[in-house]
Amino acid sequence: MMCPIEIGEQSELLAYSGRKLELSRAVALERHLESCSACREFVEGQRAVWQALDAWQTPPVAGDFDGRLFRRMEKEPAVWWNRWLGSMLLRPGLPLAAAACLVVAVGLILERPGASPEPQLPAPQVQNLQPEQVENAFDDMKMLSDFTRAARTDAGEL
Amino acid sequence: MERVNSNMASVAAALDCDTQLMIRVKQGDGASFGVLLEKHRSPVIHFLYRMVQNQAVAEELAQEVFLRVYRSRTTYEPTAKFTTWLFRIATHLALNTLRDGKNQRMETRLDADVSEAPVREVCDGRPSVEQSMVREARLDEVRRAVAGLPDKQRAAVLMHKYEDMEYTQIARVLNCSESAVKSLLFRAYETLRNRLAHMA
Repeated sequence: MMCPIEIGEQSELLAYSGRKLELSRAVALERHLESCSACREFVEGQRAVWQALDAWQTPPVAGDFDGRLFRRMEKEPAVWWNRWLGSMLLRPGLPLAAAACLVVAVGLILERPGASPEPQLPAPQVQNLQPEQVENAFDDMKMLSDFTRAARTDAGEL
Repeated sequence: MERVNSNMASVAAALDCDTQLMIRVKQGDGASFGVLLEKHRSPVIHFLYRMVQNQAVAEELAQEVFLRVYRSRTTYEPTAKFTTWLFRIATHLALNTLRDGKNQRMETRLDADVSEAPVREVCDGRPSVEQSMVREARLDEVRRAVAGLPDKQRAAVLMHKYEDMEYTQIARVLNCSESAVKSLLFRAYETLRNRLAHMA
């Protein structure tokens, strides 16, 4: 085989030094190394580099990393579902009662007493409602359904 | 041909589990974001720590990485592997920080907090003070050698060594050609061999 250093292609030497070279190529390279001191020196030096880099451990991640991240995420716009994200990660399961309460709340919002019985005049009801409330409530219902399904899946996996 | 390559890239991205999770985040699935965070939190922080060599700064940058992922959820398109996109954001932030000089890279003071360097477990009792000092000196030499690399060479080495990325993925992260990545890596490793080969 051609000398990797002479042809300027060190990829195989790097891979061989890290014991990641395909077996057939590694065997061919080892035959070359028997007669090429430059490549042998490369491999020995590179292995020392790998060992030195392997020894470089990193400090542990701060325990409040996720909490800090979620607090920053809560300040982001359109953050309705972020409040649930934190609790989802802290507690694997979401109580179904919370979902039921939300359904009841949505029902109360939609079924206000004293609403106009004439379908021809829906305007007052619409004016009394916060459109974002209804839209977000439906989003939350879907989100809770997803969370509940995910929680059940997690419980099943455990 | 471009359409074929684009289709193949899309198919490859579709096979990426992380990409699937991110698509679900785009669709409003908050739990999937938690899964991505749990999986990639440590690798991103460790990469950033080795880039800027300051744990507090690294965690702050990592927070920004995941915030940007979160902010981009509605416009996310799976044109590449998720980790490519993730590390592109992380590398961009790290390079900006290094360029702006907002952190103190070489914080090896005598009063440095030794708890930042976790002690390795040894089978035959605790290491002696001398052994600990020798180990710290070696680690310091490694840190200095890596810190002495040009920023892009450093990023390429860290992704190649610690994230086990292929040349093509590193090229996509750094937005350069594969041959440029090889050039970065070959030069970087040559520098490291010159500085660290005696540690064998």
